[in-house]
Amino acid sequence: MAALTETFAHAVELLVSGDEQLWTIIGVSFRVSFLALLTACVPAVFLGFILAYWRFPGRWFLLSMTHTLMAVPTVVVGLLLFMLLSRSGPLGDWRMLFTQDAMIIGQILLCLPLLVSMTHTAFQSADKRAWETARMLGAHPLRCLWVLMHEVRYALIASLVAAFARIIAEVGCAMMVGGNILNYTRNITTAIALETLKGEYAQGVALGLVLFILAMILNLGMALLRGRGQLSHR
Amino acid sequence: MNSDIQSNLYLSSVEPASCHDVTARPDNHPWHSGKPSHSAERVLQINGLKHSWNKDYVLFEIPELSWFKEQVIWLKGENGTGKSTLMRLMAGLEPVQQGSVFFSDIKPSLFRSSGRGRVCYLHQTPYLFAGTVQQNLQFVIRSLPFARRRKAEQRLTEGRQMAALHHLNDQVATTLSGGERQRLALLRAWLLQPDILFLDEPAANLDDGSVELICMMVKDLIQQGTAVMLSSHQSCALTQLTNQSWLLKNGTVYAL
Repeated sequence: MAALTETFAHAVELLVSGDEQLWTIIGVSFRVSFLALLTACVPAVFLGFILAYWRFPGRWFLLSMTHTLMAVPTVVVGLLLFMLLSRSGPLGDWRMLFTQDAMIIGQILLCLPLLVSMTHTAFQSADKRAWETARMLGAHPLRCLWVLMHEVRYALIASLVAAFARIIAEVGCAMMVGGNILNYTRNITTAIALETLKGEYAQGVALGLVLFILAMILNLGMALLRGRGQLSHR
Repeated sequence: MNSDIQSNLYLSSVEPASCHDVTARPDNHPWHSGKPSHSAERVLQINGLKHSWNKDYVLFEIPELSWFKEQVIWLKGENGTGKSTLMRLMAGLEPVQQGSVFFSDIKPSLFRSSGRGRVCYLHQTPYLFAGTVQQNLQFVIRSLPFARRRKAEQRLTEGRQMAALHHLNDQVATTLSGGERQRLALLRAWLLQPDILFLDEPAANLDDGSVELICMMVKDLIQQGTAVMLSSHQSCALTQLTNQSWLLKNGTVYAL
């Protein structure tokens, strides 16, 4: 028990003292995941919208595929990307394996199905009159989409939070295509896995605390937003 | 996406306005359209329009129907006969399943923006954008082509007076009363000045004062050259503005 409290104390000390190595690892995690989310959110919104508002053959199949892809384990995505990016793979010439870019691509692949599926649900539940009214009043389709996005903004933010949570907390893909290189591709989750194996629990606990605090902030933020987004008069 | 539905709608109706002359039909035809004027300009032409739910239940089937420029149409019919659906089909909000709906002066175009805002449908319960009354009205002005924006700005004050909304400029639109919502929705359409305006039960659940204000605005639109069609299951002050009735009954339209 004494060892456990000691580890915790050491972890907090690492965090507070601004341990450079620790904060570099946190920085890598956030940089990679933010960039991945930023890249994925625009196409995801368009895809989600098209799936919700456009009737075309194969729509049902595409929707089922996005739901299926949501359930794919992160290591499988990592494996696929590893095979593509390895020197002998079809994209080997890109020299991308074990870089942050590879991690970003992996995380985009991981969060895109989730984002598409959640934005689709959001758009589907939206008041259809929002889109129709904007169209009928002669607005440009992009502006109509903006009106619709405003209508379902809370659901869209929730989908962003869920996607971010999925990619910042994943280990498999980051480990496989990132390679866990210190100060470059070592992020929170791969560091925890490594340090624990080495028996260095303090850093792992410190990083775990960061993830926990992040999850708490995001969820409190969502709860605050939901509180403000009460049912309006219609 | 509705834009594509709309363009499909136009494209599926490449048949020019030179459709069969309605007046040549015998008078006892149920879909015979009134106003047998050869010089009259057609607003809209429907040919072989059929709409059904679930493939086996046919909602209505309209072999042929014309809407001429000077006609202000009252679309009558019991609840559930498909008044709203027919209007939404004509406005391009629903995909045409069979047949065609053709606007004689809006050319079929792949680039839908050429016809943007020229056909307008008003929901029975209007949708108001988040924000104030003023922001709702500005939405329309900012959607207009640049050349028309200035004039619309100038008409804004007049319109607010007409709709008796001048004192509610900064009120959040979703907190308006039922009558005020309907007036604001119509005021948006009035600012837009579409070529064709469909009003879905505009007078339902409104008090006499609001109906009168709406009447005035619709009358003004008609004078400015907008072709208006309104649906209502009972007669009211608004229906007195109409000069032609279409009755949706037994799955088809009778022009009375």
